[in-house]
Amino acid sequence: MKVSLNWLKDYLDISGTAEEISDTLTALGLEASYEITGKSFTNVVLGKVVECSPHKNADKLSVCDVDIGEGELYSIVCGAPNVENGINVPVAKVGATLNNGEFKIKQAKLRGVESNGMICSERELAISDEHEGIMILDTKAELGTPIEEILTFKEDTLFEIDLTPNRGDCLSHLGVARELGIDAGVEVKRRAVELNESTNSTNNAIKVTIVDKDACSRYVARVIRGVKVGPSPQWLVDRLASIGQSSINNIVDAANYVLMDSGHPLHTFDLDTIVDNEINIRFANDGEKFTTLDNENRVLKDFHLVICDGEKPVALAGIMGGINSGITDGTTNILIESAYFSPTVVRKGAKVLDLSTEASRRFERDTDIEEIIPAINQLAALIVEVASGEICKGIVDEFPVEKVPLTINFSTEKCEALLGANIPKDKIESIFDSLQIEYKFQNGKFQCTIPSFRNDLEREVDLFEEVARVIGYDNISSATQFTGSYNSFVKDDQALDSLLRNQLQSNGYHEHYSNSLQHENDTLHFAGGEAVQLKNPLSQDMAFIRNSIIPGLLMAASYNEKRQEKGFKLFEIGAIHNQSKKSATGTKEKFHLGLIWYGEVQSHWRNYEDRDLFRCKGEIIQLLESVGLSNISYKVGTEKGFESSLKIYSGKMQIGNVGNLDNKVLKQYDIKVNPTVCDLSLHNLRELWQNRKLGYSPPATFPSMSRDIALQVSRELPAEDLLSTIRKEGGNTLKNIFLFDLYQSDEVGDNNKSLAFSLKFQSETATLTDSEVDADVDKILNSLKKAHGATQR
Amino acid sequence: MSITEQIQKVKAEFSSDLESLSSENDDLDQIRIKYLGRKGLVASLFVQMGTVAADERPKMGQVLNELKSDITAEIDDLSSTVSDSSNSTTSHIDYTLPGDPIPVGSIHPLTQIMEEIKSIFTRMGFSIAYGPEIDTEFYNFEALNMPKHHPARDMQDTFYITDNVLLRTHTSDTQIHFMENHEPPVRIIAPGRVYRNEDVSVRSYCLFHQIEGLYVDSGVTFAELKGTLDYFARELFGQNVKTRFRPSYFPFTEPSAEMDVSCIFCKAKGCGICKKTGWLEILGCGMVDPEVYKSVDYDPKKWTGFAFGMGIERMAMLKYGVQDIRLFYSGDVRFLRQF
Repeated sequence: MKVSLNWLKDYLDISGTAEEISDTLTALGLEASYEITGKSFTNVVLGKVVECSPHKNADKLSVCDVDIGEGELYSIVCGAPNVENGINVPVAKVGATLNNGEFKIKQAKLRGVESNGMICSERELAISDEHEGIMILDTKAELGTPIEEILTFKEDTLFEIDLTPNRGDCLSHLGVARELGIDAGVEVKRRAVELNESTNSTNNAIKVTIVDKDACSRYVARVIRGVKVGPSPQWLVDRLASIGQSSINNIVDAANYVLMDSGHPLHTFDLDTIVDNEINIRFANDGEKFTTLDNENRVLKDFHLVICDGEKPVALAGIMGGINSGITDGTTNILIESAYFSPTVVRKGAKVLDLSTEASRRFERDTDIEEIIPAINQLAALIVEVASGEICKGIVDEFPVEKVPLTINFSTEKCEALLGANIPKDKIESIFDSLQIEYKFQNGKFQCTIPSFRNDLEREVDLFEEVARVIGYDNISSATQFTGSYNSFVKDDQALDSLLRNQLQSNGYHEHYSNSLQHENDTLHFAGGEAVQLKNPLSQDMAFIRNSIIPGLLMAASYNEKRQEKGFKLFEIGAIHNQSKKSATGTKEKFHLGLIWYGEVQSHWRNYEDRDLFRCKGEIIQLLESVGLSNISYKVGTEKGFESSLKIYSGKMQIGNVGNLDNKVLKQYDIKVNPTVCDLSLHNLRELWQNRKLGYSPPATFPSMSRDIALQVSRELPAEDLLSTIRKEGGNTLKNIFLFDLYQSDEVGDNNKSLAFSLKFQSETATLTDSEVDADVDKILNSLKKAHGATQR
Repeated sequence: MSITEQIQKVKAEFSSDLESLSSENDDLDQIRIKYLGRKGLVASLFVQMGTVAADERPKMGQVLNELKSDITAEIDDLSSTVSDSSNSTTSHIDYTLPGDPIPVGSIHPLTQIMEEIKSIFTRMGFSIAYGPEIDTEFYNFEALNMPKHHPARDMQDTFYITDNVLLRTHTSDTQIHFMENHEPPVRIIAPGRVYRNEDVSVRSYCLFHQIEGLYVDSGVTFAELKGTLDYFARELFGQNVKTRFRPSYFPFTEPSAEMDVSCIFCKAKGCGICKKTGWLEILGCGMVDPEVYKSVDYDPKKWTGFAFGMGIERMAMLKYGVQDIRLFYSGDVRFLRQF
């Protein structure tokens, strides 16, 4: 909200710089910034264009000889389309400054012609946004007169206040002035309104009936006859302009002025459009149609409150008037409405129509019921002042539900206990005084009566905040003691994650955060269950919540591929969701760790790493072993979205998948180089990690023995089958199996391959003899032959 | 000849032997045997120790040991230079060739900031708790004193899944989940991802990350809230930063405050980043509103506490000077490598 310092000064004397005032407001909870407005230039004088001729080198420029009362003529190049002989214009002389000193006028050559100054537009003088042409002045003042002596430039400071939704009372100059009064220790003064009423009675002109009393607990009407709709006087135009509002006509301007001044929204009707001279306030019928002042056709719900005449709605209560009853150039008789509407009714109504107005913003935040009469009187007097006419005698005041001022008990001890500060009783009293809170001290407690404009103060704790606010949060000392309780400690379920991150980082992976909102297509490639859809997405590209960790990594891979990145490894840890009938939200959240290996390691004079699936299998085992998870194995799988994949196990629990992707998927993401992708269930990993066994085996005291065996088998036979047979037959003394060579060539036949294993035997209880080990190896070889037709080479 | 004279003689002979040494390794081995061998000159001197008077024996032993170690050292020294020079004639290694490139990865800047903040608060006895990203209106709004049609709901544009289910707009939902399942005292921080239905731009994204804090016990004060957050600000931004608390409004705290820290870029003089105010807005906080206790069945007469919440992206943007929030989610390795 914008607030003018000159306007605030109507209410109280304000000293201090703009920065000090801004800091005061901020310290009170009205976060403020400011700008100083008014005359923003120096050395701009009245000049006359004596002779204007086209520029010889530029179509759009003119060369003007300008008289600024100094005897000689100045040659100035001007680009405005409206420059012509004989006009009076503002001339910035060489050495002048514009825009608060930001822009200096120098002698210059424009396309070869010398220019000694500048003819200004309204925007260049910060008068308005007009910059289509130069400003033409209709004045008889002497040439050379400073412009500020011809036009008035009133210095002002404009505060921009970022108001929190609880402080509806500060949506006005009166409200902000009251806050400044707290700091200054003075109460704001209000100007007395002088009303000259005619003998015609308002009661004869209008009848008001409130049907739905809970939604409208007070409705006051006044009538003014014989107004002349026309332009506003300059002071009113200037006032509204000072806070960035443009002038419409005297009636609308007057109503806007009172709104910005007092904060109470008022509405003006053309009385002659009100059928039967009656006003009925009721809820709309479901589906009832209504055209608002902005010429939009609205379909109303049964919770919209409407102001009706004898026939039809004429206004949407507290939100916007109707086009059927608004002020027009021909209006002569006016009905003014000043009312109290229920905040929830207005909010609900405005929200569903997506229509937020100056009035609805204030009613939603609750209005001051005691302001209804002062505001309507202020507006009536102002309309007569700016548009003439006469005010009918008295008001029509329907006030079915009285609003009793709220009383709150306040305990100084409780306040001190919550704030952790000592506050003397007389300090509390002076704070209440400054807030216009009336109080009695009884039985060790204050009984506080809350002023009608502070609807946000409902409970004792709200008053604790007021006390802290007025003292100043920065004047309450920070505690220097630290206390705590052992009972508050709980275990961190996700402690594993940072161990994984550290290991991945040291192994060259970059951590990625992807957008968890995706296109529906992204949720269809991988096995993730049915994805959760948003009701109100930003766009179709972000209409679903990810059900797999992989698409985010693929989007990143594609992005980097297009930026000439040839090789990288990424990981992401995050939540994925799918639909689930079992939970309260109808969704299930799971945490996953995704890895992607893209492209190749850059060639190096000692090539040392291939980034293929085998490398990835090794890195996964390394990662898991680094956090104490052992016994990792792989089995061939058929995972959705993968061209080839392996299931990853820890013991008997499947913990994820790794493999290369389907070409269709790669095409979707426009990735040329097939990456290897791994998806691990973090829930499973966390569980395994929590339950991992700690311990060790003492290093063996007896020597080990090694034997190498080379086997020839069918090329189709999976190595894992050989390994499991060796493991099974080897028994307890077989400690390690290591595949050290794989050989496929003519020598072993087209359909065969040769695998060479190194076997390590060791016993914890004795030194093994050659014959014992040889017997074990024979047993293994026999089984391999029987089970897989493996022959020794 | 006395033993002392013999020692002098052996020393002199050793020196002359070294001088006449050729570059052949064999010569050095012969010298080693001559002096240090089992029947070498040094050993024969040790044998004569028996002839020395008992009171002189320790001193003589020391002299002999020194002789032995001097000779050993000189021979070892020579043997290493001899072998080096002989090797250099057989092969040449260029040690200036680049070493194996072992690329290091990176932990995302948002994770790094979160970890740093977590470690500051865990030092103050806060435990870590988590809440769900998809939640109900009850946990995200109603239990936090934001009933339907509350104007404060406008401060947070919400993505809905059904009329009642939504993507949480703040980590404050975790306060309710945690208090429902734990009796006081409660002292937690809750990091997590939150969502806002806002257009994506340089300054805002449809999701971001927050860390929520909650401390409930008997007799917790606003002064403690300030003390805790003062310490936090100094730890994160440096010992010289100042804090400023100013009144604000959140439906789930009363009194409510915003905490600013003195601008770390201009030392509070006023710059573009702090919009010439000298202050940076860091977090929102306040004393837990009694209405919140009612929704989790805590007795508001018995317990008081404070809560706070901060945006991680904002901290990271300040700390690393990141201008465009979208970079955090781009996956651009040219960006990630720098962290």
